Amino acid sequence: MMKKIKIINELGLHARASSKLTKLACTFTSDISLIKDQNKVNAKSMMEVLMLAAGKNTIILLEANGPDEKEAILGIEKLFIDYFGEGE
Amino acid sequence: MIGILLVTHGEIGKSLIDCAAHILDKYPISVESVAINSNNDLNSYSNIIAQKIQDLESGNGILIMTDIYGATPCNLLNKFIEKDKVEVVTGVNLPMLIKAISDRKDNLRLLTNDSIECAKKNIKKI
Repeated sequence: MMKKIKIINELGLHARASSKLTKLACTFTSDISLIKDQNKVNAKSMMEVLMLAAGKNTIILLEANGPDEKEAILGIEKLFIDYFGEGE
Repeated sequence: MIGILLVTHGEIGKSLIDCAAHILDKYPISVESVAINSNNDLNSYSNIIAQKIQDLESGNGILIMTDIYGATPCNLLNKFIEKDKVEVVTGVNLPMLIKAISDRKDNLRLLTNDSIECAKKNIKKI
């Protein structure tokens, strides 16, 4: 299952945001990846997520494969929509 | 859990741990630091490091990170190296530490290699 997501928070996928995303991703059993351009990384590894260097307005692809893939996509998408809890 | 010990010039190690805690939103457990200052007795540092290793050991080994290869903090650590029990890596940086904390595994050799690779991957010209 895949979902295209636009990064809308001001600081993009910075360190603390990546940490939040990774923590959430680790709560699902599905394999979860983030894809930017040709780079695909494990969404459960914070340092891999950071290597995307994805700033505001970047479009990334969220991919989940496994028994809870739907919940994973919805949960992680919500994190992006909520600006990672940063207010903007 | 593998213990992590930072032995560095001055307070670099403590600062790195504080920064990692800020980013991870949680103070990491089983992570300690020793600040080496050149005007103090080096033997006393050996005793402090030995005590920290003992405190951190829980059966899975200790990964020690230091800053400059060949410098005093690094040289102090030589005698503590024990294959697959106490490993020492140099060139500590924040990505190395965060990688080790966030992907902490029970395999010391694997964690050591992954930490080094992550530290290297994060040195880039942008």
